[in-house]
Amino acid sequence: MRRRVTGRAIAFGALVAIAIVGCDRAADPDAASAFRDRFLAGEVEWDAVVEQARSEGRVEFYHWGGSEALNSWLELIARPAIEAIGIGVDFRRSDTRDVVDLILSEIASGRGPGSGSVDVVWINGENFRTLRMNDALFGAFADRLPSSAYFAFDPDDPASSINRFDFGTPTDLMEMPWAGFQFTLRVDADRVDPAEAPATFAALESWVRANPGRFTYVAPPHYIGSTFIHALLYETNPDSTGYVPFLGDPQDLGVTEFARLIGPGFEYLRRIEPYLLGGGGRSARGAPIYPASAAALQARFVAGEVDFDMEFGVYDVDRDIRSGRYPPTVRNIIFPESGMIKDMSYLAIPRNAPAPAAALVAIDALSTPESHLSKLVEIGFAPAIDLARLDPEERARFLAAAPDLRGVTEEALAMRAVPSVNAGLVDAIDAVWLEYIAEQSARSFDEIVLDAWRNLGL
Amino acid sequence: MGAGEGTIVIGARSRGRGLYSTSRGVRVALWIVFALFSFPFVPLVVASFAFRWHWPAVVPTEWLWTARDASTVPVGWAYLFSRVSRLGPAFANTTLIGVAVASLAVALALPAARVIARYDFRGKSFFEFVFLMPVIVPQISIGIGTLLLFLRLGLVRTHVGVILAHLVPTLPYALRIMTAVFQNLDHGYEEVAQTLGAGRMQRFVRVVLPLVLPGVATAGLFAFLISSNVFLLTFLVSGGRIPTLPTMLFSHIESGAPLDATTAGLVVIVSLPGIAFLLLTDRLTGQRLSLASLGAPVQPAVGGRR
Amino acid sequence: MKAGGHRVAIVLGLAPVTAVLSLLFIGPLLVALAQSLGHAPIYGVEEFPTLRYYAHVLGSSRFRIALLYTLYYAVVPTIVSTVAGVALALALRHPIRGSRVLVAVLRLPVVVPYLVGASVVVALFANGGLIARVLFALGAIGSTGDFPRVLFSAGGWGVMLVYLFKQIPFTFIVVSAALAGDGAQYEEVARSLGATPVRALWHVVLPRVVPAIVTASLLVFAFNFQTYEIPYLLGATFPNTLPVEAMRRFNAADLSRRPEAMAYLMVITAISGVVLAAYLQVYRRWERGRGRS
Repeated sequence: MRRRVTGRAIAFGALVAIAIVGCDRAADPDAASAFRDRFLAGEVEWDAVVEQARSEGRVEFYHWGGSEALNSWLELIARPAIEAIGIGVDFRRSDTRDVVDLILSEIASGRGPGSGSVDVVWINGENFRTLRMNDALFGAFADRLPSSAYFAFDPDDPASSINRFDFGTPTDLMEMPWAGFQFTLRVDADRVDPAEAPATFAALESWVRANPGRFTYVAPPHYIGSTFIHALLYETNPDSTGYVPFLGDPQDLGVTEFARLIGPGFEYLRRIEPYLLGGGGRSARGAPIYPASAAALQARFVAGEVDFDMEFGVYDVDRDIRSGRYPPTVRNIIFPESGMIKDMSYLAIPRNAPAPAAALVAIDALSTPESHLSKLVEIGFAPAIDLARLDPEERARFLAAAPDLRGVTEEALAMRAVPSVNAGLVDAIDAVWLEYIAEQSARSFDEIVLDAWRNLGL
Repeated sequence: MGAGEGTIVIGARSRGRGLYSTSRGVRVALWIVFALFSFPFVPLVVASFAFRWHWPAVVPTEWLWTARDASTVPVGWAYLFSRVSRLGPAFANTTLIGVAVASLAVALALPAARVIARYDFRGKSFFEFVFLMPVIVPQISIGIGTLLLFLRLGLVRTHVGVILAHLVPTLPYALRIMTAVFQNLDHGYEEVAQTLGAGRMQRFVRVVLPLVLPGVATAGLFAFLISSNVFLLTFLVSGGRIPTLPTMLFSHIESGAPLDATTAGLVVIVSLPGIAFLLLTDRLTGQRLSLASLGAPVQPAVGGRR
Repeated sequence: MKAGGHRVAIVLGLAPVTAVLSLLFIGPLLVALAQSLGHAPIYGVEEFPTLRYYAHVLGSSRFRIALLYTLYYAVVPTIVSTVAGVALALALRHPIRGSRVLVAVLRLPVVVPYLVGASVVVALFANGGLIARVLFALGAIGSTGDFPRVLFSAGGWGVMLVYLFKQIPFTFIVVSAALAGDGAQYEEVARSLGATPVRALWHVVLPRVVPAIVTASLLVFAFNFQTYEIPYLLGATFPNTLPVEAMRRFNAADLSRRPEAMAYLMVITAISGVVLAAYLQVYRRWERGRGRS
């Protein structure tokens, strides 16, 4: 999962990279490699995998810890499910980027197959891309799990595309689809009538000008801030081709074209600055406040400071109303014109996982229909399994269990779903935002874009 | 030394129109101060039992006990005491680190304090000055420096590393408090014991130690209190891997709404070591304001008559 | 007792604590100093010795702004808490009805982490916090935006309120202890000799507690100047204090910027040291002057 806790002051990734002090886990690299090769070649019976998993004993499961709902579900529901198989599990809450840095630095320091410290990581987007480009993944395991029968992987199946491409990067079965998320905005009907709320970024600008200080968005590189900007870039695309040009590989796009495509969007962000929370209105004095995390924006939303919240997860609203985080009057709203970005998050296994069989078994246990149904019911995470592959009775259970969408319909969401930008562009867009918006750089926009592009080695 | 513990007799005698009648204005002002410092905790305690308390509600609109069952995830106190919150490990870490730091600080400070209190020697004031430095030198400089040093020593992300880092801000207090204890010690007893033929070790264990024990305990409690309140050093050296009560509260404040039930509950729990400290020092020393020792480390630099 | 034949005892007594502090206190500072001078091979920086990073830091306008704000956030609460804490200690030097309860209440903020103070200030003073809600219910403000921005603004009121919440009681306690110490009876003596209450206070009571006042204010300033978490949590994104700027550089993705962070730390340490030393100097001069008169 791409989620990060950037609000946390400490980017420990770099530190971790230096700090690794040998975690002495006796491992035979050859045996580990041999197991991998045989498993990926389909030569290991599943019972034998489970057997080995039990002898490995424990799975180290790393996940972004910023969703308390997910933390609860993992501890209270996923843990017993995995332990029932006879393997233990440690849920490690961490910034996903730090986990990626940890894995890469371990491999760089010679800790290959069987001797790393991460077994499973919740991941997507540029973090997956980084692991993939560095050949740090276990391999094409997804369709070898018993639960894979419920997932669409066949390229001929139109339902499979969201499973086969992660922010434009082919997944090639190296990660198991786990939960789908669609971006939505939220308003409190007591303050803003959802029927009259803006439905385009253009309308949002008028609204913001008419209601200075009542809107802000999360600061990139937090994924919510980044996604908000991606959606904006789709609408302000000067060619009116929406998301299409943002899907391809950065190399094919080129920096000049990139700068041209994102220019109007960043002009928009500068224009609305004075009207954001903490901005000075027309006097243009005061510094706009960009909350550092989705949770921090939600805090300001429920405290009445801003009138819009935003997050991934269409069922979040219902869950957060039931858990008391939201007032009962909060509703989802969507921007039909630019579309609402929808992506998938996955479970992956690093190449040097110390307990690869246990990792496979744990992922399988979290990929059963029952597990996905429980995740949907308890915490409103949309299932990644293909409902068409369930028998009618089971499908009916899923449909009946889906929480209230609070103001939107399944059809509207499905019709407006658009893909995420290419993973390779995410960091570049974040870097441009940091310099052009957050630091109010006086350099020309093209220079800033060029620098961001070069610094990322694009 | 209490807020006027020494003057209590005078005060008692003069209540009313006596020598030191406190004017009406001052009384009103004192009650305002009382309100200012006691009221802030009230909304937090209330919030810890609230289920829904959003803008613009002045009081919670729904309470934890009426709404708890509607939620599929644990909330409020139920969340804090579930394994999800990981409050248990944070509490255990805080206690474990605090006890280790207190023991080490006392063990290290005891011999030094005895020497400083008993002997005059060249360079004594230099040592006294050096020992107070950690209180004055910016903790962020020490913290980041410690992190870099511990990276090389393999102590980052370990309990040992955090405990060692906590010694820096705690040692000056342990030293000053125990120096004062030894200064007030009546050496007569020790001499009597000596004339009665008690050996060096015997004298220390049987005579000196019992006399300084309350002071040693106070120093230990101070070290524990400071250790349990330290945020930045823990945060840096633990690499976010060893949660303690302050680091946990930090991340909740960072992302929590004002009057958020979980943060409020956590505030109550994070305050427990301090409250325990107050109760214990009252018992132990009978000095209601032994807290004033918090000013002790810089006293030698400032001088002045005590 | 003179050192004389106790040299061994002295050395043995001081050795453990000196060794530990050298390793844990001086060691880290030396590592940071070395990095600030360009010795950081692990980040691919090896240009020791260079003053480049200091020049860069001291020459930047961002540094100067941060320094001003650091001093502002440190000095204002120091003055306010000193004045208020001393006033409280004086007002309470003779027990009045309820003073025990008041003292008990004032001790609590001293023993809890600063982060507890931060939660308290957020709960009350956030734009959607309790005070704003009460004002909204009374019709005094129309929305959260009308409430003055106490938190996350360069004005730093939120940051300073947290300091005051902890430091007024702290100053009160340190000064109270001094007031209650030896010599508490002098005031009575002065009064019985015919001094007016004000004269007795000014000439007898206050001078006796000046060292305690200096001690408290010195500690308060030293803390305020260097603290990180409170201005980070409750201050503005920009401008903010030197420690926040230093940490930001330390955490920058580009590790080669770390020597710059170290230069920040060294400068923070130096400025703090200079200010504190100057303060002590002024106090000592005053003390000597008093001695002569």
